[in-house]
Amino acid sequence: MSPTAVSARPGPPGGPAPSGPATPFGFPRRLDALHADVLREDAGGPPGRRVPSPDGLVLLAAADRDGSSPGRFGLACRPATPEELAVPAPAREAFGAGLLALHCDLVEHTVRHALDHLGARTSGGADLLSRQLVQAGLADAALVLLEERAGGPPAGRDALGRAHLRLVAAGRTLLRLLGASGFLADGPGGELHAAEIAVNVYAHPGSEG
Amino acid sequence: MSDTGGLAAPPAVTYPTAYAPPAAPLAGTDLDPPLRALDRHCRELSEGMREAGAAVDRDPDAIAGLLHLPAVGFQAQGSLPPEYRDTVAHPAEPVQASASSLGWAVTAERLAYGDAGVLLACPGPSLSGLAVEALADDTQRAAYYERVTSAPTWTFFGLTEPRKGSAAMELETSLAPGDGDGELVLDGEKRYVGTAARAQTGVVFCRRAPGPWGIEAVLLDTAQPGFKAELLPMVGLRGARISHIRLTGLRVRPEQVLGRHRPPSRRGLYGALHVLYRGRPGIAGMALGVTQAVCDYTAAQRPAMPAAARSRLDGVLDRAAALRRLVHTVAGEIDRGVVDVPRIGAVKSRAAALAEETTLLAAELLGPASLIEHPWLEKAYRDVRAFEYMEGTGAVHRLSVFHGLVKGGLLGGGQAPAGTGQPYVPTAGVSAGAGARGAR
Repeated sequence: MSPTAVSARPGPPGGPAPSGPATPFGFPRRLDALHADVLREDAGGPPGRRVPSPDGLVLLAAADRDGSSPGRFGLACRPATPEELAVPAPAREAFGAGLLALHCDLVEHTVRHALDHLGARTSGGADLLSRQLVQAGLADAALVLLEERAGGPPAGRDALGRAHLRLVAAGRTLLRLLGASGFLADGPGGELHAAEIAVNVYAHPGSEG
Repeated sequence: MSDTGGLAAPPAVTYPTAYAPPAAPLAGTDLDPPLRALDRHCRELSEGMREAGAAVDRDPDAIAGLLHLPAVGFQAQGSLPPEYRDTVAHPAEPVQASASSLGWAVTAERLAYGDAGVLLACPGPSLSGLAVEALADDTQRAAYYERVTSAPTWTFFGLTEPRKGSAAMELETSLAPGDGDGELVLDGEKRYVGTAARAQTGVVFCRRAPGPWGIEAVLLDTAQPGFKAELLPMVGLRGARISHIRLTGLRVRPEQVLGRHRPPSRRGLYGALHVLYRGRPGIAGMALGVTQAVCDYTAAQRPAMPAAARSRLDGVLDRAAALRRLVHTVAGEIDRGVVDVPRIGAVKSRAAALAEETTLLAAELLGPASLIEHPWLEKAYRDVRAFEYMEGTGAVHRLSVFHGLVKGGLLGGGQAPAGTGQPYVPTAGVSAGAGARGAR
């Protein structure tokens, strides 16, 4: 099996600009696409396979993402099948790198959403983007993104986990700026929570050793 | 594991460890005997709240089937005037002890240790009761309490708006003259309002005239034509039933305007700030309750924790003890009529931040897939993020802390450094009567 490599840390996504308050990023769907990309070249493998976590779990998109029924936040989790446990290390590494890129893209999407959302909110006669506290928070999140994308591929699972944790922190910074709207399950809050679950399953720093 | 795993709110979630909240007073507490007795009472009442919390997280309406839990009835008793309390179902001493701001902070922490979502899902006056206590005349007050005690009654406090957030000075919901007989018409929207989609009654803040004294508070019945509320899908703390309210041509009778007997400077805006300031120690208490619960859960799940990991958890507990002391201090000050806005905001925002950091730490310490293998932790991990924005976001409180620093009193006296600009003038200096959760 020769899995398709997924670029470790791409620049801004080339597809449609993921900005605007009503534009979902679609983390669960993109996670499934990542599974498929990584395993695409293994034509002989059984259909529906996913890449397993180091602890033998599989996280995948669920049909229902309304936050109240099975598939909460658009994700489902199950034990890996024997065929999935046989997915070779290069494919798992490609998946890990792809998940980091996906996380970066989601944080960028959230930065753009925050710019739109906070630019439309006013307080004291000025939009919230004019507030230094808000500007600093957005800048901090953007700086984390710049740094993560500038780095080379993380060396080992610990480094990968640490990179994700920095992105988790950046995402939380953005959600705090969004106030209560950052807590909506059908907005960036729900998507970032799904990403944090994926990080917890696939890229926990304690997975090494 | 099912195909939906721990993310999916399965039909029945069971938590793997025995529920054992600390029996001794929590670190940082220095409570008098009645409050220590309240602390013990609430510890006992919190039994069973975790299972209830799983049900409410799955379906917030499940609270209607959980009204038999002693905690559900108890939490509201202290917010009722003595003549409206249920002295048969609840012992008088802990109820009386819970009736102060400090008593509520103690109650909120212990019950949130059980489950914060259940606590916020409960029927009762909640923040709307604080507004009624602050503003209502005797007739309004009697009608309100008779209503909320005649049957389980959910209430809401409608301040936040889609475009203006919780900036009380800038709210846009309008209260305009109607056709005649002094009737008024209410139009506008409120967003991120707890319990509104289930409530029978509640308070809406609105603008009747320009300027800070043009704000009014009106007491609504949600069955009135023109009132519509829908549940918003939130990431966590789903028991709070955060809702969006639309008010369309809702007719308001003059007697529904709270504080109509008061001068404008002691009505709407006064009431909004009065409630927000007094709500914050309770939110801080809830945040500390979940923080303590997550620490205890983590330690129980990983008894052989390496020293470095244990040290990180102990660091959280150290901060929780310090914040608990601060929460009790500011709540006690409120009970004595002193409302230190920057300090109240500071402890609320720090407690909320600590709760969030604690769940992140627990997810790390409990290892890979901890958020799948520990459904209770995954729920707490989601729930605590709500404390950040409830009763004012951390950013708002940081600015308030800065103003307190400039004013010179935040750190316990001393002069503001030279060159820091104009002296800080608080946006509202609210003094309270002493000794009651909703003191007038």
